[in-house]
Amino acid sequence: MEPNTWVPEGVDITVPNASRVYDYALGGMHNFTVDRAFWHQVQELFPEAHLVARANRAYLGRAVRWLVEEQGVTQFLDIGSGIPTLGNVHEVAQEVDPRARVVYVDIDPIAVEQSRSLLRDNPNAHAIRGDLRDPDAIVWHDQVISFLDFSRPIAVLMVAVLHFIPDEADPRSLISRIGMALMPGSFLVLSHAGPEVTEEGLQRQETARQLYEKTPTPVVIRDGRQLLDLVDDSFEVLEPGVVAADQWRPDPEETAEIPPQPTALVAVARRR
Amino acid sequence: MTHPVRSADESSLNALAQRWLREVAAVGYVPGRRAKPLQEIKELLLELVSAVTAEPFELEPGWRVGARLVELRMADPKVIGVTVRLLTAHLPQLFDGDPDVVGDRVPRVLEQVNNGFAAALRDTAMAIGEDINRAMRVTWQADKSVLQHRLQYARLHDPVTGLPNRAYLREALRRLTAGGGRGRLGVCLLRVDGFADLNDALGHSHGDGLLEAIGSRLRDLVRSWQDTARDQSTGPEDDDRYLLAHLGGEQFVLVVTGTANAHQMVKVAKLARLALRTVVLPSVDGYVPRVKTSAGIVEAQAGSRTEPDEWLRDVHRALAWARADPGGVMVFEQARARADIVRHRLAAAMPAALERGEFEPYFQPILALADRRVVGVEALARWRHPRAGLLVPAEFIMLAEQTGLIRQLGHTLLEQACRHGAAWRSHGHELLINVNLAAAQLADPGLVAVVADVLYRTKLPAEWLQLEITETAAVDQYRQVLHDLVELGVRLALDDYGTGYASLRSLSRLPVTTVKLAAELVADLEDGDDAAAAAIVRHTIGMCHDLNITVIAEGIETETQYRRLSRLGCDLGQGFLFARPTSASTLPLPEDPFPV
Repeated sequence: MEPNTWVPEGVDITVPNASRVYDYALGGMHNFTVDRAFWHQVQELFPEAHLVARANRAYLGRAVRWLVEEQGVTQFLDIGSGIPTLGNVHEVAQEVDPRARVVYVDIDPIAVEQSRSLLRDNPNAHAIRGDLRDPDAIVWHDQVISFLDFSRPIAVLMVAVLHFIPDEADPRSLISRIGMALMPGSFLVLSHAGPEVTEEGLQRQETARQLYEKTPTPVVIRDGRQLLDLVDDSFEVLEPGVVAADQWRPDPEETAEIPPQPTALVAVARRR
Repeated sequence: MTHPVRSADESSLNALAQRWLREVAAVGYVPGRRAKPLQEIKELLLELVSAVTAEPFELEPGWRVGARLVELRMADPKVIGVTVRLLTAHLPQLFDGDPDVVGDRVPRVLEQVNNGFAAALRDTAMAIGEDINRAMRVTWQADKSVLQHRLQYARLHDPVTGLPNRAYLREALRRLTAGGGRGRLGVCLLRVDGFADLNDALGHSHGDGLLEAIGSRLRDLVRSWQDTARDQSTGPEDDDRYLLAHLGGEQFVLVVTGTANAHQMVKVAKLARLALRTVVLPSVDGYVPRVKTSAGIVEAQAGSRTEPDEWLRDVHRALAWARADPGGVMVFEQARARADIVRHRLAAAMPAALERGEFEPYFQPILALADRRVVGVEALARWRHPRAGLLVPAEFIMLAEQTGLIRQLGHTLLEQACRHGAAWRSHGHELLINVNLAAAQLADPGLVAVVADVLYRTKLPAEWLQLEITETAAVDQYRQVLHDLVELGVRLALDDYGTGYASLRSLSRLPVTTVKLAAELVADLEDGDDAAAAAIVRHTIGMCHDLNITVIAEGIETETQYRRLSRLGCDLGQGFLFARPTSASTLPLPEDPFPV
């Protein structure tokens, strides 16, 4: 018997964790003191930071709804899902089609365990532990291949996770590896931290980025061009291309509620 | 007062609900389309309205509405702020009735909304806290079990090749042999010859690379066997017939269950050796090392050995035999192992035996063939072992050579032989004393001095000592030593001539005065029709005589051999026909007639 060669890094609740910080930013409670303290620091620099998180989460909701309602996609692989609390993939997708299947993937073992707890009564949603930097281990994971049907389209979500992958880890080839496992007609749903639009904003953003340097998950800011470069030719980026999260198929009811957030860049692509 | 207040119309209610949701969504994230949450909010508003208008007035619904907001995950702390502010200002407008009553009831209901919200928020936070706690414990437990698994894996696998290690193999063998085991079992120990040298020469990281490549090749081989076994399988037990282990360094082990015989394991070993000969190894500075292996095999009933170490011990023994064998593969045999044990015990006992003087020379007479007169004796080593009795050279000479005790043994025999020779001379018996000289003695730089010292102390004239050297490739390099011995006056004989490293050239180059014809050549003379044998002996004798070299025939056992040797002109002879080797005290002296 071959043992599990993937060894989890120890759970360290003395350093902030991206998925738990994001949970707190969205008003969730699945986080620790260190995550909250970190978020307060970010918010001092960016009082509207929570709105970026909201814009991201709202985009995720709209994209999933669009995929189920208009593209007939009923399979989702959400990589870097964090803790699927408010308005997450399975809630949105299963509201439209209760048969929709979702696998959540996160690197943080606590996030995964809590996801499992939240999904306990949901037979069509699972959570597994995985690292985007090892995409084969995700697409060949026992639960993934047994639960998702790779002969039919699957939507792979990488929402607010790619900016934690540095260039050295070659995010383009990571996405390609995943793309290879997908049928034509499958989708990529991406979002990424983009640059601020004002000089003053850029300065504050740089300070915030430096805060993340002290966490296990430093952030890489990429602009729209760079985000496009992460997607190879096997995917076609769909209209409207790379845009701010709130510009992607906006819902008039939602956009009225919060101001535009240009630093949340998003794109949806289809496997050719 | 039956109806102090009455609620307002539907449209004002809808307008307030919409505004409430908008304010909530502005401070806390509300996912999805608005229709559904709007419906929820409207229901909460209706509940508040009926609470205010209810007779008797009740506060309970206010609490429920607060808690419900949390349940709907409109749970941001700011939600309750905007809710209380908005409803304080606008809820009273939904009622027409006694303003005092409305003014009294609305704040009290909203107070309950606030309380219900806070209580629900606290309960939810605590429940999630408990869940986080549980998740952490589960995670830690999982991490611990992975670590334990890793630890267990590390304990049972070789760090270089990742193959099962000695501990794993022991456990597997214990399992296979437990309770007497089932069927037969084959264990093959493969050793990469010269690995240590290669490792030192190429550097240890390259050495590890080499082991990895070897391990991987063997793994592929075993996998292919397993696949074949599975295809031909008659039951699930056939799935696991092969086990490959790495004992560390240059040793790999293949275990096969359900073998039919040892031949099957020999085939396994040969296939493995063949596979390793063709393995592509990482090249080092352009040099691609070649792998040569030896293999020892144990194949027996699974229950034949109850302890894993017994299998390993025996397979190591078979490997030791294989390394000394040109075929490179040997199967363990109990009888040979027993003989090995005896030899090892003897080897261990030898140093003390030398000190106690348990070694002594026996003497075999050498006769002139013409008149059967005894002209000399050959000293032959005997070990008077306290328990095993009298041992002959075949039982211990090789051990003495292996342990390096041969020099000491040779020395003591030389001294004793010379002492006897001198004693016989003093009694008027002039005998040429022949003593064997081992290759290791020749290599001893002190040899000439030792011989001179012995001659001096025993007072045997040098010309009455003849040292017998075996002709081997090595002899040539000791020419100087041999010349020095001749300078002392000692005579030299070339032993076992005609079978070993036969070099006619050595006859002319080495200062020998005597040649001893090997017993095999003498034995060939027994067959009267063997003209070739006779021709070889005749020409050898003729050639020796031309070179002024005396010829002694060894191993004469029959009258036929004796007669033919005499006719061929051989000078001297020894053998059972005349006398067996005997102790100095029982040696028949030359005056005595020898039985013929």
